[in-house]
Amino acid sequence: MENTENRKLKILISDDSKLLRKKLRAELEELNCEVIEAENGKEAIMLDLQEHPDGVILDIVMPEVGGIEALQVIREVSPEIPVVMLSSAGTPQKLMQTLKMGAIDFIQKPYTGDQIKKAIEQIRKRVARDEQ
Amino acid sequence: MNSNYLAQYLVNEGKLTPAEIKPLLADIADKDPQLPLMALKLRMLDADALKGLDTASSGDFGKDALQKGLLSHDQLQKLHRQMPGETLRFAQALLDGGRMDFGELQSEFAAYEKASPDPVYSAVEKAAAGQIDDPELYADYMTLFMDSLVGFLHTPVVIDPEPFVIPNDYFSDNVYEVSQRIEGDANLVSGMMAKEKEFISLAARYSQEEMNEVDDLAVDSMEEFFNVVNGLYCIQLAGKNKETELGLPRWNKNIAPRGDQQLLLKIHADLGSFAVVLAADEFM
Repeated sequence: MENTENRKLKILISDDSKLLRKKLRAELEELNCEVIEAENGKEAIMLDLQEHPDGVILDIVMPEVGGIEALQVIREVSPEIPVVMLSSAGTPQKLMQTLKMGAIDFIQKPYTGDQIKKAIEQIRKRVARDEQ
Repeated sequence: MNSNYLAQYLVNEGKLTPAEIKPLLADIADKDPQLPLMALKLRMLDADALKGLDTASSGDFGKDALQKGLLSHDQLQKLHRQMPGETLRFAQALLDGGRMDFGELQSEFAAYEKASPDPVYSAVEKAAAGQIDDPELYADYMTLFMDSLVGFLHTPVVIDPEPFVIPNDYFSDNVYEVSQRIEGDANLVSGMMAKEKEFISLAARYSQEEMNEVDDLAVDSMEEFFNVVNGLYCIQLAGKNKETELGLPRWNKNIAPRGDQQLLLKIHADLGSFAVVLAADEFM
């Protein structure tokens, strides 16, 4: 089996902003990730089930199904998949709520490249631990 | 604090008109505030002391000030370590453009630093003309909005303190609008209206993408900009024990804004003018 440290991670990003997805995709690809995109929480839940990503990066304010509801469903159906919240709605209340629900990190928009890199490192560690 | 409060103060006081401000705002990006100006701003030297020094360049000024014993090595190092904000860049543009000399700048620095309430609040209050119940909510928002334009779009702006009345022919060109609701313990819908050229310029600066038309990416970029600013405002409100939620961003075209407690603010930037719309409920 390929070493987790070297293998390409499959990351699902869910955000209704086309610009955000475009920028984030480019950064994740630089970090040796394969990217799948969802425009809302409903698509994120569907793609989580279909694609079995190694990690999910989830916005909160999205149409159809928001990020909080999507986080809840993803945690129920795929509890092993690490979820990172990436949102503008980073009030202390939202931060605590999502971390209690099982998100491994919360990144406030606007994000920096370093924050994304650290989040991917966290996901990679989780994946490595689960694969042992 | 990134905002160009000196420029806002001078516009509020009628010492510069919005038309005079625009070319100066365009100059700011290239301005590297020089040590003599910084020494004046930090009150290390006054305008009279600067008259006797070589102020043509930072290097010559430093040597001259040291030789004459007007500045110490520590003071000079402190000046070199200063991170010049938009106010100093703007002051340098005023100086270089011959609009003000050191003496006039010294007076204006002193006056605007004492300005109460702060220049953004004054501009919002004046533009609101007593029609808004909670001008502080709008002024706090505009402070963050102006800082965000500098921080994320490298675009310093000033608010026109005159109430903005939409001209009859305003929608004869395409006008693009985005908005987003903040609701909960505070209720505010914030958004903008801009003609095509200004909308594209703002979207291109935020996205750092080349843009020639108002397409999906341009609209999305401005929606995302508001989403980020409004998220930061929600965090600011949370610090005042006000819990709020963000709605989904919206956009439209050529809709005259309507909304309870509506305030239209004309914003002047180097790229042109546009309007910010603030209201208690959705305005388009």
